[in-house]
Amino acid sequence: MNITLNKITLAALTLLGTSFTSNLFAADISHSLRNKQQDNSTENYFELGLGLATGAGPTVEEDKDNEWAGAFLVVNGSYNWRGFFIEKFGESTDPLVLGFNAYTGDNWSLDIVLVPKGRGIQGGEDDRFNGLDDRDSSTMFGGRLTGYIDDNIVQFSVKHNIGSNHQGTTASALIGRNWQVRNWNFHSMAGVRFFDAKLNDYYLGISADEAARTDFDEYSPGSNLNLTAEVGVTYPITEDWVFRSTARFAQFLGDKTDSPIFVDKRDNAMSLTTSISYVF
Amino acid sequence: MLTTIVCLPMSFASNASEPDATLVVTPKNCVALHKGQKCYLEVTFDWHAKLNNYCLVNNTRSQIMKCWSDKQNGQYSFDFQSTQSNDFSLQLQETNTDVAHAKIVVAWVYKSKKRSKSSWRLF
Repeated sequence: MNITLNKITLAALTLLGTSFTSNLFAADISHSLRNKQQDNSTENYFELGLGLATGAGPTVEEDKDNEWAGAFLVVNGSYNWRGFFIEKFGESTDPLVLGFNAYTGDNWSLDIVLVPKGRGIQGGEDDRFNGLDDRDSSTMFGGRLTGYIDDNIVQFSVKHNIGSNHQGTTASALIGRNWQVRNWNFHSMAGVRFFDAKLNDYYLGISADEAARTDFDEYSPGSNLNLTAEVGVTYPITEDWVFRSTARFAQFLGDKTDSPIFVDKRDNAMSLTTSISYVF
Repeated sequence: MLTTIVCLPMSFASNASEPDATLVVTPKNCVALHKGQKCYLEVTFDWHAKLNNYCLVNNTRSQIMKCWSDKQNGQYSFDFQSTQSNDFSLQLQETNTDVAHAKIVVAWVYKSKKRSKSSWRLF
């Protein structure tokens, strides 16, 4: 098992549209689940903490076990001002979510969001990637509709790349719920996310030019779906300290993990994270 | 371990008409995650006063918790569950006069602010 959670591990997880913490698509609803209020309220807060994570998934490095573990920094927060908001929830690797709350009703909320998507592999980051183009971070723009139905939260999201990276599109549908057992706050979530071929090809494809100058075979993945599930618990240790633990599982449908970029081509990933944070 | 941290002994005591009367609740702080959530805490009240008949009263709920006859001290434990801070007092049973006070403070980690409701901002 790797006892590091290095940039390449994170890049591999980014390639898959997941991460060891709340993945890109799960972050929003995870935040909602962990912060669900009967009045659909939101708040301004900031917290810092430390966490431990372990997991397994496809790898992009030679001679690396497909299990990993490491420590990570928790940087969570949100700030809302006249409908505009910045969200950061995901324990270090998640990009920011910038948005504007266009509508909030008793049961539904519609946000316009701008989401920086993490970068993928970098050509000079590992000898194995020499000759490959950098898979840079990209910006996704779209909407997210969140509904509060009985004790469930549902969230639908569509985002499209703006800029010149890949012009790809993702869409997701998630459902979750939370429940309180004394002062412990549990949540569960399941969902599906769609990645179109453009996005997958940008992060996981091997172009003819790249194939010509490297040992990688040309490869062009199609669109795919990720199925995800998550359970977690949040506990207020004191008025300022919060404990969290979350288990996540993702199943990658389609052929995206067949990409030559991956050494271990398993088609699922899982993680367990635990953290303690100070809430300012 | 987490429960232990939360339940570190804390005390609060005051007295009213009887200078020597004390009412102590341990622990006195109950922390829930979000504002508005019900907070749960196993608490114990300890009181000392002159020999007499007394009742422990939840003043927030106007509820008598327990009474004692011809006692100068007593103890009472219960499972506190509330969405707000609660004030308690030790009362002389004959006159309903408070002789000591204590408070269980309910606090939250996230003090949320409400979004405006049912309003379109953009369209």
